[in-house]
Amino acid sequence: MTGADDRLRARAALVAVLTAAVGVVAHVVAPDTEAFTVVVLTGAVAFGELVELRPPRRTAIPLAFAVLLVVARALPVGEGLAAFAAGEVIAAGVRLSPQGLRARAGVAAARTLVALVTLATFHYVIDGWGNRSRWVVLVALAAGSIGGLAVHEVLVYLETRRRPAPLVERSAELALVTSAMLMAIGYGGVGGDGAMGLGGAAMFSMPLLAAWYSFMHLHSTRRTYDQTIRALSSVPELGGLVREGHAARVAELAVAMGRELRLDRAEVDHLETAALLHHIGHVCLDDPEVLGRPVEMAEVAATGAEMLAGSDHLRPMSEIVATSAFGPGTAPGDVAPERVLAGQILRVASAYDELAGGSVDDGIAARETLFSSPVYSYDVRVVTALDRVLARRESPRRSDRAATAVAERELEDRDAR
Amino acid sequence: MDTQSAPRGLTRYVVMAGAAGVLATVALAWDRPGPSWVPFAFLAALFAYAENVALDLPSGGSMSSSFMLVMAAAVIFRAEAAPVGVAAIGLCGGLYLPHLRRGEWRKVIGNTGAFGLAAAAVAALSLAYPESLLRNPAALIAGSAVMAVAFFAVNTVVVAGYYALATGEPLRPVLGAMLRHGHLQVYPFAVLGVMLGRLYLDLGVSVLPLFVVPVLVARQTFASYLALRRAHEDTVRVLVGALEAKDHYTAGHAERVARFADYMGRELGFGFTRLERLRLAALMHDVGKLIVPNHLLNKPGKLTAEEYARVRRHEPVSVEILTAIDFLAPVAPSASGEFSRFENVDEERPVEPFIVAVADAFDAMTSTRSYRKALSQSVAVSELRDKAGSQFHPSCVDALVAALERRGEVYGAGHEEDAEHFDQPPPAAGLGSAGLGDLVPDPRDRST
Repeated sequence: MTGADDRLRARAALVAVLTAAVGVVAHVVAPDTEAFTVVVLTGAVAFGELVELRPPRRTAIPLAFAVLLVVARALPVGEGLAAFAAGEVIAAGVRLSPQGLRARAGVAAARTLVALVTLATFHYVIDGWGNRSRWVVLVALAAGSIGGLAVHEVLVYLETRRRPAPLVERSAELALVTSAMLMAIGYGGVGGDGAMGLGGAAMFSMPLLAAWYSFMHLHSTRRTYDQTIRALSSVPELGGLVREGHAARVAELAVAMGRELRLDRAEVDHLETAALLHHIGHVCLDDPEVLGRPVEMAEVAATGAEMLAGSDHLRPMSEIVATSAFGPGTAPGDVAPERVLAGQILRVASAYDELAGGSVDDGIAARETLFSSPVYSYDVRVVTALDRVLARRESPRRSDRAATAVAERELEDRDAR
Repeated sequence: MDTQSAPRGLTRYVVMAGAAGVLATVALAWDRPGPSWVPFAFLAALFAYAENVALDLPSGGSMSSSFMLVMAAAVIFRAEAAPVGVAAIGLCGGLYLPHLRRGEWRKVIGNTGAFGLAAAAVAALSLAYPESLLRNPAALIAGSAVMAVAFFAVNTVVVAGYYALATGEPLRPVLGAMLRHGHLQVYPFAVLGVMLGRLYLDLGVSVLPLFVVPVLVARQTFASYLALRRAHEDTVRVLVGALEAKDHYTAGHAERVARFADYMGRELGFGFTRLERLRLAALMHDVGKLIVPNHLLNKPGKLTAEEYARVRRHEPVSVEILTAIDFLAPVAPSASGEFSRFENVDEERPVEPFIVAVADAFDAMTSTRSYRKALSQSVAVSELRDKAGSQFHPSCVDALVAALERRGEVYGAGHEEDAEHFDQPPPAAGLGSAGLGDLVPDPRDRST
């Protein structure tokens, strides 16, 4: 957990406490109106905007989207939209990122658009059917929630141009939609039964909070794990054994090539870690002057693979590093074809970076060298994939430029935090 | 069959516990209606499933959502005035497949009894709960806390008795430890359980998936978190293993330093996250040594000034590596001998670097090195006490001594875990210092 996470949670708690206080005042001043409900829901939206479900390596989803369905159940479209927008304004004032008024206003506007779609869809289905039976309410809730999330997904895509995650990786959305429906049912019941008001909605938010808690831990552990791997990958560089930035550049290139060759997501993850750690074996070998000969790259790969094989979790990475020492079709042992391909990708990416050393001019020469190497040195499919990846970088499409701009903005935000 | 020979009295104990669970269930069934079979079958199946997919927690113990289902049953079957349903669901707790497969019938019967009795206690309490309050969320949550305490207490007492008999440990400390740990997780599940029951009563089976799905997602995500956490520790251990392979004089050093640091952290009242950070920082405090050439780390004689300077580079590198990991950044100075000296104490600075310095020095003194045999624990402790307030943080020294006394653990001469065997026996004299210091000549003796 970082200090920024702690500060954000403190602000979320502050919003919750202030909302409760204002709600109580509203209830005392105007007991017969909806003021209390509006105040509490507005505060809940602001709180939910600061507390997010964070699936690893994906855009976070604010819990405000779950509150939105309770807003839809409690208020008509106009009032609901006003309450939601007010919550967004409060959140924009206290959130830590993005930095800058314009960026925060942009987020609030995007969220309000999601709210509009959710509220309109829910009320359209309810009013269109003309009755409020159990199944009509359930369908309206599901349609409102899924419709809002779909709009959110489109807006995220337009901003980042990142390929959307496949449906099987949408457990966060599944938890959010089902919990939002549950909270809305807790508030207003269904088919005339089970209405418990705001207390019911709060009570039925517990499964969602349990999911949030789990995702929060998964996210922070994933970040620590990634940082540990990157920190350890820098050890050979800090020891002057490898050129600075080599591991990070090879990992980035290998991931792009893995995607180009349609490796599955898990294998691309293994490839990235293997690429970051592929020189780690260097630290176990002594200086060339002590050895009395240059250190062989095959020796580095074999030593590194042996180190990584000490952990069950790192065994796939160990196999990739081990096979990267051999040319196509010559890797010993019984290794799955997809892993052998990953090893060949690492071999080519590492060789390219050794030859190019981060320079564009040297990069062209490096590609020519790789293309003209004997077929038993480098896999032709992989070298071709490298060529396609590099060619795309030389003439980036609009989507790539947008992704780069977003990445730069995220970096600025991180630095600001 | 349970092939292991059981300690005396264990078999009698589990049979009595199992019989008590069944008898309590029968007593609850006496002269009362039976439960509706649909919710009963649904909850019993889910209960057995939940017990079989319980998660092992890093703090020891395990987490299962089965208690949530007992609470749901308490609400549903209270409305039907059929408390036997609650206790009968508890009896399904013995259906743990690994125990059944291995024929560990004592554990099967013991768990059946423990869960059955605990669920029967909840069922009995639910009878005292006025039906009108079943519709009041606040009353439900308040009642669920009482039932949670009853379930946890009964289950823990039965399990502690089993554990004490099986291991030969005295019952009181076992029971105390079990009661202290693990009770917090039952309250959220209690609240979730009464909500599940309430949802069923109000809306029937059709909306239950809306409740079960996010709970399952939370469970799966938590399992992924635990797996990733283990992977992270594995990764760090691989690197520590590589370090110890380079520098075989310090085999097991990082693990022991992490253990002593953990002892001190607990003694100083650290929370779980802070302890975890301390343990990882202690494990990785020498990670910068990976950049030191093997021949320097293993050089039998004294180092030259140039070699010494090269070896010393490992400290800033360790600090740089720890700083690159957000989670460990606040305690990165743990890797720097200079910053970990008590003379450099500062109100603003965390105590972790001082803890690692004490742990590091204690392990170095109580381990055999090439230049001297391990010192006895009493000599090492008196050395730490002598330097407390100058080199070492006094609170950390006190914490280590208190933790070792509390645990009754002894390290040093005659008690070494990974004693290094040298061709030429090391001399018995000389104190030496931690880690790096083992390889460095005394500055006063630099002329050689």
